[in-house]
Amino acid sequence: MNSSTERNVESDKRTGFEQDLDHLRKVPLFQGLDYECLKLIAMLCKQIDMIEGDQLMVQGEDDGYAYYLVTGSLQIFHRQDDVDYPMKTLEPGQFIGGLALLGKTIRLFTVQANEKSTLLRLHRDNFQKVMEQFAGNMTRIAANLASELTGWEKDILNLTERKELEGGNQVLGISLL
Amino acid sequence: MRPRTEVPIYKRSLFSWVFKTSVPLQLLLLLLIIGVVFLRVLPLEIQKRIINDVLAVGDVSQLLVYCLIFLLAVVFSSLLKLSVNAVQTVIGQRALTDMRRELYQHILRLPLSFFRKTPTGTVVASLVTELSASANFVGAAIAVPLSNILTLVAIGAYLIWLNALLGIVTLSIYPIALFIVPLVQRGVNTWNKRRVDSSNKMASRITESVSGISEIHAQGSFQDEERSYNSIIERLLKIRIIWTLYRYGVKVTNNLFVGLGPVVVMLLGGYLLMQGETELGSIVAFLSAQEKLYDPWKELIDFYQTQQDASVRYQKVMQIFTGQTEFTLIAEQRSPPAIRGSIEIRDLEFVTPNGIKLLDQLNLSLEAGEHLALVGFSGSGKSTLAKCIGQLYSYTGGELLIDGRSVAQMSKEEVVRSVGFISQDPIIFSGTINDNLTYACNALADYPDRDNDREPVSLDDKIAVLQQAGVFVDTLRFGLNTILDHQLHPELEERFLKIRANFQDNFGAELAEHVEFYYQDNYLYHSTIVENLIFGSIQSDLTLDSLEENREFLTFLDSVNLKLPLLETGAELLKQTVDILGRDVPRDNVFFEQTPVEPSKYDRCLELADQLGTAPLTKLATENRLLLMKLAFRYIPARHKIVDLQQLLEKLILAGRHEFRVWSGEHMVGAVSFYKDTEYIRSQSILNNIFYGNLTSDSPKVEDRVNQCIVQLLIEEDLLEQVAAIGMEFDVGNRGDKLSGGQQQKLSIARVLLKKPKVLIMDEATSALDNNSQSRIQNLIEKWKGSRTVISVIHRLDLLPSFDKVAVMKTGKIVESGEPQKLLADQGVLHELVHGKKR
Repeated sequence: MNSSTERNVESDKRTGFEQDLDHLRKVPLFQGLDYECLKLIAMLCKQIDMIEGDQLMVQGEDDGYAYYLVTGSLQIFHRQDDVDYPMKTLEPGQFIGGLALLGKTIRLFTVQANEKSTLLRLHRDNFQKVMEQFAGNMTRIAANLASELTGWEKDILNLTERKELEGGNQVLGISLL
Repeated sequence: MRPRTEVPIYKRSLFSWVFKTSVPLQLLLLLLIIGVVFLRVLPLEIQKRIINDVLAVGDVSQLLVYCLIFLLAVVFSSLLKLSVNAVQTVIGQRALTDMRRELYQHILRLPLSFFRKTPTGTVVASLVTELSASANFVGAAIAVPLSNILTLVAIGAYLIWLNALLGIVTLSIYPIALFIVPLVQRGVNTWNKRRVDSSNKMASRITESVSGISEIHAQGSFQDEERSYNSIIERLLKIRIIWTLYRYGVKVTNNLFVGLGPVVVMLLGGYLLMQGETELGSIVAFLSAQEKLYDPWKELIDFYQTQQDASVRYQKVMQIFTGQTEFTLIAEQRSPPAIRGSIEIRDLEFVTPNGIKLLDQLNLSLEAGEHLALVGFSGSGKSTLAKCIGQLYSYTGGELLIDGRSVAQMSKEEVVRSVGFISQDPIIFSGTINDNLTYACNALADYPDRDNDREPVSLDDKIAVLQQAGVFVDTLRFGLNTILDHQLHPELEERFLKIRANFQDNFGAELAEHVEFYYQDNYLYHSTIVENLIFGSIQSDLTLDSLEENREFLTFLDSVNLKLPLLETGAELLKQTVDILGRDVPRDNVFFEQTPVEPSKYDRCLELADQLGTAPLTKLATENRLLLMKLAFRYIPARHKIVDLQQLLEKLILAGRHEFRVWSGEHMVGAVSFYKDTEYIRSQSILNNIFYGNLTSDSPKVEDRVNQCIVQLLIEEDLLEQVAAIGMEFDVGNRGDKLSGGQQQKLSIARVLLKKPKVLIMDEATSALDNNSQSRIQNLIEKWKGSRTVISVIHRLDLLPSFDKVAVMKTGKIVESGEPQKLLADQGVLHELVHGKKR
């Protein structure tokens, strides 16, 4: 490949597209994808600017988007009995909503911008159009997803008390899906 | 609506189209053919007379007369032949149009089950390509055999009339050929079939190898693969040689028999001439006739092959579409009773052709105006039941009654009048928002207006349903993003200017940070280069889109040192686009949103990309330079991030903007109106005119605020409805691809609401919508309690309390039904669905 998209990532002269591409290369779900495939994904990502209070996703809705946070910060909420409980805060470099790229996903959380934030946004329909072009890469995505889920549950297990496990925790086991 | 033909299309023979299309044309054809045949035989007689009567006595004037007649016969024969071809073409093409029309009419009415098992490609290919061969045959079906047989008979009769013995002997060759040629043709057919089979085998072998190439590389099984491929192509080689030999065999056999003719004439004719039993002129006439016999004979053989091919293809197509519609279209009664909306389901069953029971002994009853929620696990049959009630599927057992009348017996007319069906996956057709919104109402208008009570849909009605479905603001936005047609709405410009002033006064400061205002000294990152340069609109034949073709303008660019930097920018945009998208990317708009390259011009760009770098840009062919210039002109830095806007170029463009003012004052007098905050800009959208700038933010909160401000301003100026009407003319793109999923869903809801159906069936119709939209639609539907029956497949169980009844389905059965509150209190299956299984 001889394109300028392969320029040194440390260079200051990267185009907006090259910067997007570098961000996406760090996303765990996209690890190991063909470079051509990732370029096409970057081409279909839109950079958007949000202001404080803008909602990226709303609990109970299927918006079909995944986001990469470039600058700013995001807050995750979970609503129960009409109360929004704040949960994790997301920092730049994090990717959220990837599951929605794979199929209809009703959100279990609400996510909103804490401050002025810049994000890369990718919609399921566009992602799937890219995957139609690079069908072989879907296996890679599935493998990445499986590994993410397993790793995630491993972390939870490490954090869970032995006693609780012996008591027959009924919630754990997502990696046994 | 066209009346349906008696015999279904798939049962009709290919030949039935011959006279169906146009009897008068076929009769005309017959007359023309008789003329052609006569003019084909006439020269033979003239030829004979010239030799026998004229040459013998040396009568020059008679010779001239005969030659003139000969000449006229040849000329008229050609003219008539041309007319025959023309009529034949018209008949063929009309038949093709009729076949396509009637087959499409038939296909649209086939049951949905047909489309589940038939690939779309097959339907498309049948209508687009396969029928052409049949139509060619229909055009030729009368003309070709008739003209050639008549020619053969006429020439034959003439020959017998000239000399009976010689005539009969000459013609006796043809019946023998008639016996032998089909025998050889049979060989052609057999080997042709083998060729097709073998080619298919080769194709599937290649597909398999290519798709399994990684395994072949992994195992190093190249030689093994080659062996199996080689055996196929070697067999194909043998088959193709034999097939080709047979094809030549037909030709050679035919030529052989025809070639025997002159030998017979010379042998027997010569003998008869020597015996004085015939004249020299007759022998010449016989020899000429041999040639004239050959052409019709050959055409007949070709026609035979065309007919064989056409009928095979025709039968194949009709076999695909065998099947009848499951309902009658128009009600038989003169005035079917109006539907109130009560629904009774007794022992309902739906079994697929493979014997899978999707609905099993369902029982349910619903009063007119009651609302029923269908809930259950996925695959439990909720959608199937909804589709049966909407007559989209025809149930296979039990009874389904609306107002006591069986749905299976109801005509489509009655169902579409009173039943509205909204599916989970909306289908939006190409056309405008308005076309899609009025789709159901327009369909209704094609059925008879029995009670003379049908009223045209008003703009108010449309706006009301767009609001109810939650797609009004989107439509308004499409209207605002439209570039106003000055000819259509000359009066609106002034009013939008007034709104611009009000916007500045009321919201200017608040929204200033989200708008890139049209200031003379600022570069507009959300506008194209050409917009930045011209900074105005052009009011002549020239448009911003075609400016790169204007020589004078290009000279101007050169004078302000912009030509080369723009060519370089265009080249960089093209290089990056090709590098990122590659050669095989579908020419689909979605992939081209971040590049100024248009999908339709991508192939040209690929060709040009290969040439870039081999020669200086200024030495490229003119059309290529124009293409690069166009790309540069269309470049919007804020959107097309594959290339950065160079600072130098930005400065040059700003300097060029000032120079252009001066230059255009001399070269385009009065043709350019520059951006002024007191004037309407005709090259910009309504919204940009109101802002006097570009909106730069995509934040949902900013969008909402902008919408609120604009709606308020439009209401104040009484322009809301007009802008919405302009928005309704927005082209939604191929299958609605310019709309988001939510917008498509809302539009599909709006179009059914516009019909005001007595029975509304919603098959997870709101599942793709945001919570607010879902709630809005649910609130609207609640108001219909008592007046319209609603059956809604829902997955959001918090909506349950607003329904009168709920039916819980599991594996094709209704396991619980009744009032939602009661069922929840009983702690049965519904309770489990709502609160989850106890772990």
